[in-house]
Amino acid sequence: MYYSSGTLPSKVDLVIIGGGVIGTVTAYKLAKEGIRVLVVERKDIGSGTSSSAAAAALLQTKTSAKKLSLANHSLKLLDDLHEELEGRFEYAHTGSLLAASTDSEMHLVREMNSNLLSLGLDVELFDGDQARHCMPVLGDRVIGGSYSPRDAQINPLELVVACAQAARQHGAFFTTFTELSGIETSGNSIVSVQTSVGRVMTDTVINAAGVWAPQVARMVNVVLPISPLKGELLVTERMPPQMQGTLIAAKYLLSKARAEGEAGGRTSKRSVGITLVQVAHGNFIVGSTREQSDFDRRSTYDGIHELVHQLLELTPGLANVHLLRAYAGLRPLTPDGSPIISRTPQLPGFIQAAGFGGDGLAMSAITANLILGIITGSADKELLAEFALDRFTTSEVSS
Amino acid sequence: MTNKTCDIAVIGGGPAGMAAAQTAASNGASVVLIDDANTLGGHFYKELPGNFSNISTRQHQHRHHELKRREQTLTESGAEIFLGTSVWGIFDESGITLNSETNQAETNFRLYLDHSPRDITSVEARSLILTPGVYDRPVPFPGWELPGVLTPGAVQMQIEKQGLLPGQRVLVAGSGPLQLIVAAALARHGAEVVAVLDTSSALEGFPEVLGVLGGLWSRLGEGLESLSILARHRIPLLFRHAVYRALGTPDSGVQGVIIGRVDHQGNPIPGTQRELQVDTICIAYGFIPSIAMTLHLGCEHTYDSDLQAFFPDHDEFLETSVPGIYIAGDVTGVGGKPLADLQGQLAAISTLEKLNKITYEQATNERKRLDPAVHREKRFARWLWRRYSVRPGLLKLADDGTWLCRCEAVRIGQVRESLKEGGQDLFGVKLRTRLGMGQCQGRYCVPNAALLIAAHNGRPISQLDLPSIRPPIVPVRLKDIDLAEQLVDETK
Amino acid sequence: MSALRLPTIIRGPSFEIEVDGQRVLAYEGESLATVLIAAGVRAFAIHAEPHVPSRLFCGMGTCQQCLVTIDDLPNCQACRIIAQPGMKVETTHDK
Repeated sequence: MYYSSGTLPSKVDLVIIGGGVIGTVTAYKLAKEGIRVLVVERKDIGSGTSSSAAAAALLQTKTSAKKLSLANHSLKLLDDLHEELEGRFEYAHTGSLLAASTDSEMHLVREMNSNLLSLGLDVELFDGDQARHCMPVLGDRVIGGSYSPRDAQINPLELVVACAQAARQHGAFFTTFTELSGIETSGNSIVSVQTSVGRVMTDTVINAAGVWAPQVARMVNVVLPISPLKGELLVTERMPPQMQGTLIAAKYLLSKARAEGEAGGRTSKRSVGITLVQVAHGNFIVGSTREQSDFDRRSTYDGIHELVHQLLELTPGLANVHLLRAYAGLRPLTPDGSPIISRTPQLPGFIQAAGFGGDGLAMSAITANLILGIITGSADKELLAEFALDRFTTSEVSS
Repeated sequence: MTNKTCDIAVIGGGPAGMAAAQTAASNGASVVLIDDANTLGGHFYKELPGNFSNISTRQHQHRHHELKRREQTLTESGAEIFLGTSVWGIFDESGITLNSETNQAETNFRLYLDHSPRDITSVEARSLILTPGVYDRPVPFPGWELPGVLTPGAVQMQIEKQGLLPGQRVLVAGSGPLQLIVAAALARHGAEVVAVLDTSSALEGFPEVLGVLGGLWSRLGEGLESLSILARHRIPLLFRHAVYRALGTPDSGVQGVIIGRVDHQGNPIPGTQRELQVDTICIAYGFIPSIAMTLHLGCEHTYDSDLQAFFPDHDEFLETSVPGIYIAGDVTGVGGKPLADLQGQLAAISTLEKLNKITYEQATNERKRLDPAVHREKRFARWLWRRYSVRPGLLKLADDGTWLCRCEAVRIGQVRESLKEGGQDLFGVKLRTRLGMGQCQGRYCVPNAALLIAAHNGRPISQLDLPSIRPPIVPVRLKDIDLAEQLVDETK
Repeated sequence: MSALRLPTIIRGPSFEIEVDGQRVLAYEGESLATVLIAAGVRAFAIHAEPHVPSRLFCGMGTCQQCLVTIDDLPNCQACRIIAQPGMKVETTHDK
């Protein structure tokens, strides 16, 4: 079964595989430039990792000048996107607070804070009382934190729906509930894509299939070093507004760094780092765990329990809130933790836009920009080098 | 924080659950029976609070004594009973949620409890018998969200368990014989029942009744008694009629109702509407089986288009598609108390046999003994359930402004819009409208959304993918999940 | 006694609870839903967003439509909670 906006075209300039945040934002950006785009999605838009995103686009968690500059640029582009789409998705610079509960966490927070200041980010160091003044949901265990006003919260599904709508308004075609069955090539050019609803001629394919991007790439014998990293999340009932911005437990950064280092290896150890945000609708979203588990998205008792336990240590005031849903998503992770946004050397018409880890939401607008740049030949060379597919050694690729 | 191990956990303490627990415990299995109400009995045995007493009917007295007897035998058999307790999550023995694709291997089940007695926070069982029952099915119409619009189940609960009339001028409507019984109860206790509406026709199903009745005259007793009460109070029984809209405000609640005729498809017939003054509308169109737990456990379900609901699949031994999980009672297809009792016993027998607590011979003999009664009850059950149909035309009563998902305030117009925008299934509707993401976790809106989706798609409901039910099965406060780290296994 | 409590029933001890600052009669063993309805309160809450009333609907703890605040604890199911002396119940009417 499929849904198509109009009849399936026989030829397009470009086919995007995957209708998540990357696919839909890119489709909008390209369609706006007059490029004839078809998005092929095997289920409904946003049904992959995008529906498990933790709703935040953070600056404070970046550790290098490069990463920070990229994140900043991403947010500016998201600002533009939000304005262009007339606010049709929840997006606001509500800030973030990186909270410490122990002396060693506070030490880490201070280090990060001064590093970010030297990189030009407007961050402020808080003591415990200031932290609680900023976020009254915090309890007494918090001894201090770092506040970054520019960090943003986004509703990923609203973004996907809004961009898909806007893309269609600019002439993009969408075919959902459609399987990609093959990519036809001739020499080192793409000729067409084959789907369960027909064949479409094109010379360019964007692989935005998330954790399934490696499967798509295999159709043309390309190996993508992307593997899933499961993250469990919790959603509570709606509550009256009582929190502005995203809370990040300093423990989270230790968890993230550890997991990225282990991303190449096989481990079933679960690490937990709390992020908390109250969405405009009133629900609290609590993230998240990090656990290698292939494509298994099942919730676990330990994951749920640990998230709740660590959350209530930080925010004991939320003890009476009802949990409505525990779910899990799969982060598509590369060996170095950076995405692959790049032409494929042996098949230049095949452009990868995958491997965003837990940053896909924040990176969506800048990725769309980069892809446009790749197509028009005007992309920033440094960024291209950073996200190139051929930066991986053969051993990394084959592991 | 303690964990209790047992052979069999029975979830649901109505007639089916009680029968299952009784049979299992008296055959040597260690049994835990869990129910979230404060008393056993489910919807069949409805008891007033301990220090209330009433001039009750003979039937109520009979049921009261029967319940007391059953409770006593149950306790004496050694089954442990947890009341006021919810199960918020069931995981396999390694703590992972079960899932139809991944759990064909045999495993013990870990149940996590909310508000359990004696600080027992989890139960580990080798087998599960699920008897969650059913709940009344509403079909949306303009004004159905007003205070004063409520289900027959709620009316019965209020009258029989609390000694309270929910209102004074009542319209009873919907479909099925239960409405008669509820209307009679209301009238008997002094409410003014202005009319009883049924979308069926008086003659519907009559030929079937003759075929099915053999030996079941007593069953009609309640129905005939209700009819005579309605006659005595001169309450009009209007077939092929439905509620068009409820009148009133959110603050004051129901103040009136517009009713009218419908055709055999449930379509409203223009020019037949009239207004009645009421303060209460008691309405439902049959039942929805409680499948949140079986969905959570990854059991397969099949849509029964006769009974218009998804039921958990089960074999003749009442085992679901997940090894070690059995079901019994109304959740297999509303059949009333006698069938629930029988199925509870059968499910227990299957479990006992699998756990080697009884032999193959014993199990076979028991099944042979119970079979004739089961067959008889099933035929009546099927006939009965068909009387509670939701006719497709009823959806026409709702307009775009009518609420579909009350918890998240999603109107039917928004759902229709989401289907036009590319939504093809429940995920697509949820993605674009938030339907099903609220407090009742989709229990009331999903079945009705399924009707809308099927009507829009032209594809049968049976092909709809059911949502996987993530934990928690019921909303649970964060503090009740966060418990002390020490886990001590309770030794017996 | 209210017009809705069945006169054919002999009840146990009674006490008072507070509903929106008013003292209201309750009998031992009655649920909050019963007490509220008997006191003439059928809309248990009407929030500004969403503007859909909270009230008794299923009577069995399934529909989550009977939510009230009890002793500052929000989102309690009135049909499942038994009234206790001194309980403070708040219905919300912030339209």
